Amino acid sequence: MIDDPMVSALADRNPVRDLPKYDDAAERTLHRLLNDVSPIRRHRAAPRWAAAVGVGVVAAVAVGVVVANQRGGESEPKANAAEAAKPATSSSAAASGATTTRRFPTADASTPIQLVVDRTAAAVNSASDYVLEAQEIQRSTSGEQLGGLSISWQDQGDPELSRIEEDGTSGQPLLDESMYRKDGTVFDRAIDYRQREWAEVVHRSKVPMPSQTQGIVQDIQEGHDRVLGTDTINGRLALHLGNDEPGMGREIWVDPSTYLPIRMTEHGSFGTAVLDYTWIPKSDPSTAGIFLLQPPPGFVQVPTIKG
Amino acid sequence: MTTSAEADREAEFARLYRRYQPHILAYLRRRLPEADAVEAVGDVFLVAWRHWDSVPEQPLPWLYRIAGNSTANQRRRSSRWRRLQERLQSTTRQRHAPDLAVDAVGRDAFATAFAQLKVADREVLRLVAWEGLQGAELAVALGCSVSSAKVRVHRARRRLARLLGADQPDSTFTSTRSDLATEVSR
Repeated sequence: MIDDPMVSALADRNPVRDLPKYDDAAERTLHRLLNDVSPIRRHRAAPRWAAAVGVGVVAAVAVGVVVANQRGGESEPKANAAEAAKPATSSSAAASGATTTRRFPTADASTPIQLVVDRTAAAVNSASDYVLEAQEIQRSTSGEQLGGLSISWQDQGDPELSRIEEDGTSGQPLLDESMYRKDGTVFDRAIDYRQREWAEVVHRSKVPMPSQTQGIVQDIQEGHDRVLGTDTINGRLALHLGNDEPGMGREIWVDPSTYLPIRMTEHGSFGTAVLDYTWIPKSDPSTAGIFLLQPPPGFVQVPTIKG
Repeated sequence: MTTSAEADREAEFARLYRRYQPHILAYLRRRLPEADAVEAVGDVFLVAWRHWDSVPEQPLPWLYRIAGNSTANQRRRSSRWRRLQERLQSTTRQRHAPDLAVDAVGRDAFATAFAQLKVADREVLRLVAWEGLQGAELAVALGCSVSSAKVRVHRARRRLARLLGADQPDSTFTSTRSDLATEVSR
């Protein structure tokens, strides 16, 4: 190991110093893997990875969080789902990045990847005049939607509103949660529409709130991406970035003129997650008061929401 | 592929798994909550199976690289999707999915400085300090050349030293290329 006091200090803080023992559980995982992947063992109709994900979904249903949606077969989330789900938020005037001040030359499929990554990071980091809307749907390897639609809105200045909706079409949320900071204190308010309950927790913490935008920047800066070409996403031209890193399975589409991301997909053993991003100007009336959640009349305040 | 060849590949895969599963589990436990770590082990070896032709002679650093990618994916999924489900268990819980390995290093000045490093810098230093990698092995784990790996270690150490001295977060833009800085300042 490098002879360096800082590296030594970090080594002293290694949380797992001893190798775990290879046990029966590890061996069972091996057999499950072989059953799933090996052609000469493949005798089941459905892979167990999908079944494992299904168990997770059922467990989630049991606590009243999400309901597994059985409408399979769609390849993309419904374009208007987020619009329908929002509490009077973004209007049709909401920008999807196209109105951002253009700072860099427009990219095309021949633009070097590092330049695209750097410009995207810069564009995302400086998009402080926007509220980022992200809607996510996950699908199993067989194409079934896993759980509900998850939508979040975030201001880079901190406030955030997240929502889980049952099926992405009803506009009826299961859960809303909003976090905002005031005078150094983080307020966290959640509304459970099924239980007709709401709760508010105050965090006197200086820990930064989670940031969607920083997550995007980290994603693209973790690297190994390359420009795959151009696609049309929701009717808009997009630069398609991908990677062939083993285990990464992530693709990002960015607006070639604003460099703001408009879609990210992840592929894994669970299936595929599709995140669609919309950058709503803060000047848009739909963003006014979006982060100030008000429980509907008749809802009961509880110390914590149990689901 | 013939049945015999498939059986050979299965046997090779089983050997690979049995030999390196503890190393990969330890790697993941250093960086993820226990349940996620156990789940991610399967993901790592599933990827290894799918990229069987790419498995190098010394597979551990390559498996670390896959595990690193899986860890990043796991954290993203946790932070985005699961967090609301977890919130329903108790609104007082830690809200966002942490980089467990940041918590693991403690709560003192060193930990504070380490947490301020970029993800990539933290991972370079952890691979050196926790997995004991250097040289060609580190390069494979990082997916870069040996010389690039050395540069990345050097830069990560320098940034950590600066943070320990000045206690100021490293700007996202300070390390980007000068041509980008010029573009940004326009």
